[in-house]
Amino acid sequence: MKFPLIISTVNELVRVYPERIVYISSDGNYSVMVLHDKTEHLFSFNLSHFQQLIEKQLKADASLFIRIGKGLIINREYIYKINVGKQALILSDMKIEHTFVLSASKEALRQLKGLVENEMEKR
Amino acid sequence: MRRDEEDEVQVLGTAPKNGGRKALWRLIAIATGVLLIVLCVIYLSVNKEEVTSESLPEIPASIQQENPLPADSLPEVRAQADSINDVVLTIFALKNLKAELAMQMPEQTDTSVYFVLQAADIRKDNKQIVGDFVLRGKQLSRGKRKTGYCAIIQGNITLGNTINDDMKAYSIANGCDFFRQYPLVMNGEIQENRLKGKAIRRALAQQNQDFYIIETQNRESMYDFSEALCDMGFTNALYLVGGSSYAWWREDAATVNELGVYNQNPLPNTNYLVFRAMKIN
Repeated sequence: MKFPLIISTVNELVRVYPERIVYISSDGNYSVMVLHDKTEHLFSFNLSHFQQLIEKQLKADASLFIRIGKGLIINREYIYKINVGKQALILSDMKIEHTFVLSASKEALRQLKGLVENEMEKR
Repeated sequence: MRRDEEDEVQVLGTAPKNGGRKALWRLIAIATGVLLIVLCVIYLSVNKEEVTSESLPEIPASIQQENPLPADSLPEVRAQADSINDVVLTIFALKNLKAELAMQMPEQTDTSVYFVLQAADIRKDNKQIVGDFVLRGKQLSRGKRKTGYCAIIQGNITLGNTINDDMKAYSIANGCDFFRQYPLVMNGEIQENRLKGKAIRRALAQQNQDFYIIETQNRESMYDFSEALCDMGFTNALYLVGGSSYAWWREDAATVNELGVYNQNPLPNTNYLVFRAMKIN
C-alpha cells in the first residue's frame, strides 16, 4: 500500500497503513481497530462511518477489506481459517505471531468462504 | 440485529452482495403496499355509503348504522306527534339524509340542509364545548363526563356509550366528526343520568337502522324522556341540547319550520348537528 489511512477525530489523529489493520469491530456507536501487533484503537464513531472513511481514502484499494455483517470489517489478507460449523473466523498470517479468533454467523462465513474460493478460481 | 444484515458480506468499495435481493424485497413490499391501497380505494369507492362496523374499531355491533335508505329515494324530514307514558313527543323521521357537524348554523337558503340543531353543550363559565368534540378530524374539545357519543363517518351516524377513545381516535384519524352527550337509551336499555329538573328535551334516536330527532312538547325530566324513548322502541338515543335552543328543519324546498328561540348572539363554540340531502336536488 502506498498511502496510509488517516483517521482524524476532534482530539487525535491515527495514521496507519491498511495492511497493518487486521480487523475493525463495532462496539455500538464506537469502532475498535485492531492492528497486527494487537494494538487496539477505539474511535468514537460507528463501523459504517469507518467503512465510508476507508472507501473514501483508499478508493479501489478499499477492496482489501471485507465487511461481515454489521459488526465486523476484516482485512482479507489475514484470513487464515474459516470454520462455518464452529462459526469461527481465524485471522493471521505468517508474518505475525498472533492469531485473532473472531465469530460470525454461519451464513456470513459461508458467503465469505465462497468469496475467497471465487477469487482463487479467478487467478 | 436483523438476520439479513448480520449475514451480509460486502467487499468494501463495492455494492453489498445481496443488495439486489434486498432491493427486490423492498420493491415487492412497496408493490404489495400500493396494491393494498388500490384495493382499499376500490373497495371504499364501491361501498362508499356503507361505512360499517367492519372498518371501525371495537364498538358494539348493535349500534352500528348502515345506510338504510335506497339511493333513489328523496331526502325528507317527516314529522309526527305521538305520546307514551303521558310524554308527548314530536318525532322527526330523517330520510335519505347524511349528517355532519358544523360550528356555524347553515343558511336556510341552503336547500341541501334539512335539519339543524345544536349538538354538544357549551359550558357557561368558560364557553367551551363540553366533552370530546372532533370536527373533520380536528379535536376541538376534550372530556368524558358525558359518556355517550355520536360519531359521524362519511355522513353515517354511530351512537354509543363508552369512555374509551377508539371511536374518537378513528374519527380523528379519518377526518370524521365526533361529539359527546348524555346517553339516554343504549341497546334498548335506559341509561341513568344525573341531570335534574324538567325542560324541553331533544334527542337523536335510532330505531333499527333509521334515525330520528325527538323533541318533547312539554318540559320533561331526563328519566321520563329516556323511559319514553325506550318504551317507544328506540334502541339507541343520545341527548341533544334542549330547552329553548334554536333549530330548524325543512319540510320542502320552500318551507322551513323553526324550533326553540332564535338567538342572534349564540355562545361562542355553539355547534350544530346538520342533516343534508344525500343527493343534491
